Amino acid sequence: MIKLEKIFKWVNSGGNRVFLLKDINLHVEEGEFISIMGPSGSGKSTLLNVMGMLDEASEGTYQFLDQNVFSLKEKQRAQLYKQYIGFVFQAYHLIDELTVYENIETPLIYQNIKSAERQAIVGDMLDRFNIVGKKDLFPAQLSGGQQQLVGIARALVAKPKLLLADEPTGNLNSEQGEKIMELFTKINKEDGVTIIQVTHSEKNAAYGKRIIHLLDGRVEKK
Amino acid sequence: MQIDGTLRAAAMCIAAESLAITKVALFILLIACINFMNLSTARSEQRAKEIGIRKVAGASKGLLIGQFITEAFLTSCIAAAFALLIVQLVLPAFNTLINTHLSIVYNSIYFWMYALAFIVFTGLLAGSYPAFYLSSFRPVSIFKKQFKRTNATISPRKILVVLQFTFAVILIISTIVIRSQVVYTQDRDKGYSNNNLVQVNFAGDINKNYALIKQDLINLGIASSVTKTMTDIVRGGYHSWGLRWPNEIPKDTVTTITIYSADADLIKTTGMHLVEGRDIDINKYSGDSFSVLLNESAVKTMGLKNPVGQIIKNPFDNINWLIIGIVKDYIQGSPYNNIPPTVIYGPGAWFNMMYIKFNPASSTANSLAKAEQVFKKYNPSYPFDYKFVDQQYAQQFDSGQRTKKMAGLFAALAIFISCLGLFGLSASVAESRIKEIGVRKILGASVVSITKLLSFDFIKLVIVSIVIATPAAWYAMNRWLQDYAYRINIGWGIFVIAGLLTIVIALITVSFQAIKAAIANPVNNLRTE
Repeated sequence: MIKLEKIFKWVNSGGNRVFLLKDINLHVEEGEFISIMGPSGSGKSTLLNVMGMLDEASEGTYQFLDQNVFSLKEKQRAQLYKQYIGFVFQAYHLIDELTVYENIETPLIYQNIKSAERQAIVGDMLDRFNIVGKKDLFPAQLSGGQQQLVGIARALVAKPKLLLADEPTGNLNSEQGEKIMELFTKINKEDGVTIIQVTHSEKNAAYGKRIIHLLDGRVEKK
Repeated sequence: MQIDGTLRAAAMCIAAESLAITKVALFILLIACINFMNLSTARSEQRAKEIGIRKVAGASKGLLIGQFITEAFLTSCIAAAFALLIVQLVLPAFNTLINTHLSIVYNSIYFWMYALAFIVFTGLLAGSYPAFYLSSFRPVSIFKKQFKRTNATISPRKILVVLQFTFAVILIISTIVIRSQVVYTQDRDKGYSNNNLVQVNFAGDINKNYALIKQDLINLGIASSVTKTMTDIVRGGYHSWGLRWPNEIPKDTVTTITIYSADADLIKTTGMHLVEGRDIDINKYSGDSFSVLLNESAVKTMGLKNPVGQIIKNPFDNINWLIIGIVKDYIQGSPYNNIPPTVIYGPGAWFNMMYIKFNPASSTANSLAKAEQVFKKYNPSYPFDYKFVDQQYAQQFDSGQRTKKMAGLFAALAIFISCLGLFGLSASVAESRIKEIGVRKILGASVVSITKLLSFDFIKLVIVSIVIATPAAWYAMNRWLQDYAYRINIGWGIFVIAGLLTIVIALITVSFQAIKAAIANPVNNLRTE
């Protein structure tokens, strides 16, 4: 599904090249559940952003579903990630002015799905995540765990093949975190959604079938 | 008397004009003050922390209000200094534009007192609302980051923006109406032809030697036609009542008719259009001393059928005047007025001026030089003094042109300042929604959809302004047009044009910030601190 080859990424800071990613080679098959670990500044989020097509690498090739991502035009790339990738963030990043229902609905609006159909899909999602009773609440009225639940529901509502999660449990207590991880496992097993998560916690990383360790922008060989 | 009256009318006109200008200038100042209010409250999120800390450190609300109003005063003082400089720089251009001689009276104590009063007034107007708004923050909620932007349907900020744009739209509509009115009147069919037509007032021996002068002008090929009249054909004749005509009704005896007398060749010289009958020609018909021409309005006023050949009487001198011809209505007096019913007497009365239609075959300069020779010969003790009729006619539009230019200037200023405010406001809104924009982009929103999202909120306000401004401007401009008998009808097209123009200008202003926010890479804006 994902083939990263010889990925380098750097930024220029005062005439010096600062490398964020160095020679990353990574293959991800469909249906995998991968955890990326590493200390702060090791390039975890950058790698995730590159895979999510939110950021470009300076060098290397990236194949996503047999398409060469870096040679695509901005519009085509947006089309690709809109269709196949869902994002989950540490800070949830729900839209404060919209209700739970509207937050989950947003990606469908951007995929030009008809109103009636949207209603059915969002209704399904609310059911699955047991948040039907909260659909008219605003994010500020929810606990962190609940907000992250909405965030995941939103990421999955457009039926992506790949879920990218940047420290999804970072703002949660361990009990809430565990629930989210169990949910991820379930999604991965039952729906076959490929999951790549960045995490600090060994315990949460263990939910993944494969763990990748990053250090100074490089994959550490075990 | 006449001159005195004209001067007084002109002075009153200028007084009314400067009152109107003052009002409009105050509105524009208000628009600018609204910018100050909106931008300082919009920036409040950045200042919230400062306010919280000051309050915790013991500042009272009164003290904070004082601080913010002082800031507004300072801004107002600096603005006044800049304004003075700018006025000094653009005053010559402005004087040329509206044809006046305005200057700043630096040595007048009143000027400085007014200036000071204005600075204080502006500072208070612009500074008070932000001062009360900012000083009312509660420190606890600021530090807890509960500080939220309001998303209410009606907020003071929205009302202020609507107010601003309402003024701007009213000014734009007014400008278009004034412009159309002036152009419409300029395009009005004069009913005669005033190019190459020169008026020479009788002075010295011109009256006595009129026949000789006319003969020379024509024989030397300088003029194609010459006539003399009692009064200025641009201004019109004297107004009288009491003329009697066939089948009149009692109230007709007090109907005012414009009267003047003319020599032969009036129609030929001035290019008026003969509708019926013939021109006055004393050389051919000796009885023409007591013949008259009527204009169409006179025929209509008198209700005459088959007017040519009928008699009208002047009971004061007991003369029977024979109607020999009808001329098409031509513009006399202000081109904005209705054309008065006019009776042109044959050469039975006295004359004050002559009209010369220059020979179109030679250049005007050439004709003038030659005509001067002729007048020197027959009227040696006076300089050759002449006026071009087309220039005199054009002067009637001076005040209209001035109003048109001023209105255009004011409208441009109003829309510019309003958009300046909108620009700042849209920047601050885009900034405060930056996280939301990032999230939406990652969820698949296109640049277009985000630009729409950010712009539409503002455009809605502009549309509300247009809706409010339309009837207000319609009412005001209809009242303004009442002063003109010859006037346009304000069609809905004017409002559509003004509305579209405003929306387009506002859209360009707002979308600049919106597009900037929409194309930014979301990753940079979503980084968790």
